[in-house]
Amino acid sequence: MSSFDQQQEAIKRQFSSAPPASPVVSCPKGALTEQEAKQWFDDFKHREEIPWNYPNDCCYNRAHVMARELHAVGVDVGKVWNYAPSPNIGDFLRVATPNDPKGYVEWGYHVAPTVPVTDPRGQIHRMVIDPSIANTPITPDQWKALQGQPLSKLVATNASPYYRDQNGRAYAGVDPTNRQRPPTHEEVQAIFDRHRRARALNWIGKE
Amino acid sequence: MEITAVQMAALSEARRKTFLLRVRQFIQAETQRTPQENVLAELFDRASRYGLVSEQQFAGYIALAWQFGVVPPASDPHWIAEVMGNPRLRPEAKVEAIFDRARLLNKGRA
Repeated sequence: MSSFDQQQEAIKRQFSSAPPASPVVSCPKGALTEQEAKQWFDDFKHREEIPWNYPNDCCYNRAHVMARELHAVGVDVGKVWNYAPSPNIGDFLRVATPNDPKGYVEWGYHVAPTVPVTDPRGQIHRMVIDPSIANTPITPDQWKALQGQPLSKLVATNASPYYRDQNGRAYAGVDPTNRQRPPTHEEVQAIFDRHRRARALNWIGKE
Repeated sequence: MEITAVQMAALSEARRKTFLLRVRQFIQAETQRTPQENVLAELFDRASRYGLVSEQQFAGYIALAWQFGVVPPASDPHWIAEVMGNPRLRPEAKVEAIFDRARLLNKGRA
């Protein structure tokens, strides 16, 4: 181990993950400060491999990737699901967006990751990280309100379901022969690629 | 109890000074040399401009820059400035990257 390895280890032991000049005490393990949550949000928003400009679909794959990365660094990440009241009779969630030629998209459900965030008073709140429809971390109620359906049903879960239906059946992955196997990196990227192509097709002759 | 903005600023400044004292003690313990307080304070301000967030990130950048002889207002060496000024990197990744580069430079010296 070089002296720089040792120094890095010593820094992690002796210094906290809280801001140095903030009067706020250190975050509980697994939580983020408001600033850290915003930085994660901005970081995800600028990822080129994630098709943020295709709000029509892909929320489950985006949520999976963000949750996986947050979990990997020790964040107590979860997910929040919003279900349209009656998608079978056209009662969808609806969000205005410049990323569809119609100017809006409709969904039967929507999902995004949530993270615990410590506010300046030391209170912890769950915030939603969803750059597909917001510009900053927002509360689950704010997130629901953006989806234009007061009768929709909000459900919070841990991060493990890749897909969860309205009746609570949860699946960890996309493999039809084993829905409890989490998707591989290649499967995740293939879904992003498919949605990038769908976005391009959606805009043919309209841009 | 209401805390005024002035009190909040004073509290922040007190925590900043305490933090810099801890960084100074850390560097002393690691290098057996004593950095000047004003140099650490300048490096702290530079770390803020680089967008660092946590104590660990500030301490990592300040300790490393100081060991490579950075004394503001002189600029950081190119290999530090390039990483720290990269807007695509998260603060944690910036500090990790400069330590990686420092390790490589250290190997080159051995």
